[in-house]
Amino acid sequence: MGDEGQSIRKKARVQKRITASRDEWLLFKVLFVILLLLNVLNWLAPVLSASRSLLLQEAGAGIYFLLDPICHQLPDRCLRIEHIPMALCVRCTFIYLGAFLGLIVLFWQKHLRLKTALAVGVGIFVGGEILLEKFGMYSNWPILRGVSGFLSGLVVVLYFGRFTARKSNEKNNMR
Amino acid sequence: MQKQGYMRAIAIGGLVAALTDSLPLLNLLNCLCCLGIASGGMVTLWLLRRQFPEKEYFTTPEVIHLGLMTGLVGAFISFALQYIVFLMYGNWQVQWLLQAMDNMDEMPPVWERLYEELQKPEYQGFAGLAILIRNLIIYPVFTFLGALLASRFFLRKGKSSGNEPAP
Repeated sequence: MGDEGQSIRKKARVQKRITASRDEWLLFKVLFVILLLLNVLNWLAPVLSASRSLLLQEAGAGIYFLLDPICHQLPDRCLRIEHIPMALCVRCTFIYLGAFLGLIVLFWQKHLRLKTALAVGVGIFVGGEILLEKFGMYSNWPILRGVSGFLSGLVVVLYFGRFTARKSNEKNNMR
Repeated sequence: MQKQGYMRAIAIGGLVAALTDSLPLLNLLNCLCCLGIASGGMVTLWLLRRQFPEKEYFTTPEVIHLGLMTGLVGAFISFALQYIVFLMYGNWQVQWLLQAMDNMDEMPPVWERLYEELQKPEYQGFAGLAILIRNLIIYPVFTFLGALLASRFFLRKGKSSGNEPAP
């Protein structure tokens, strides 16, 4: 009986697998499209504006106009492509990039759970960075803005995003 | 009664989103990743949660629906508010952009042309249709994101208090 039980345990194994529900798949697809579009439009705007075609230049101007509500778009705080500022500032560019990468990471590693302490730590770092700049400790340091933006986007997605853990029975024939 | 509650929450959320985009100083909030517009979606979900405390969480289709509806309402309210602000202050956004370009150390040739264009009389008017179309695209996206963040926050809060909802 003991051997039979062991054999059964060896032959059949119940695994806890992380799978996505239909709702979660829908959410993932919607967020994927939104973040991909934001990133692509941001990078496309200066490329189109630098084009020789008037129609493409107008399209580029249209992208700047479209993204105007979501960023101050100050030219000296934006990265440049072909000497033309991007549609979003450095911080916003890296926020959406970080969020997009966070979504990819979450899809790839569904079991990933970010601890609250880590999220709070990143929040303090980002808040501190913004305040230090406001109080004039330094001015216009794009790398630091980019890092804080990237971490913000990444952490928000990883902290609030989750795939529900589900138990699934899976028979694995083992030796 | 329930439907009235939903509509009221959506209207208030839309109003909050519109106010944060249309009023000249308040719209600085949107420099933080459109936080002002997203807050409209958050407000909608918060009001609904207060109104229906027995509802533990919002499903993804509900969040999408609420976020989109809030965004659409907000887009139209914002359009009206921006027109009122234009009547009072003129095209302050173009003036602000011209000022920002004046402060640039070096302006690319394409932007020099834009700088000259923006000073023409046709850019001093109210770009009504363009603003409305822009609002109808941007508002639903960011109010949805705000609603999503709020729903996830409530979900985590519910989990930490031991009331984890069924998946």
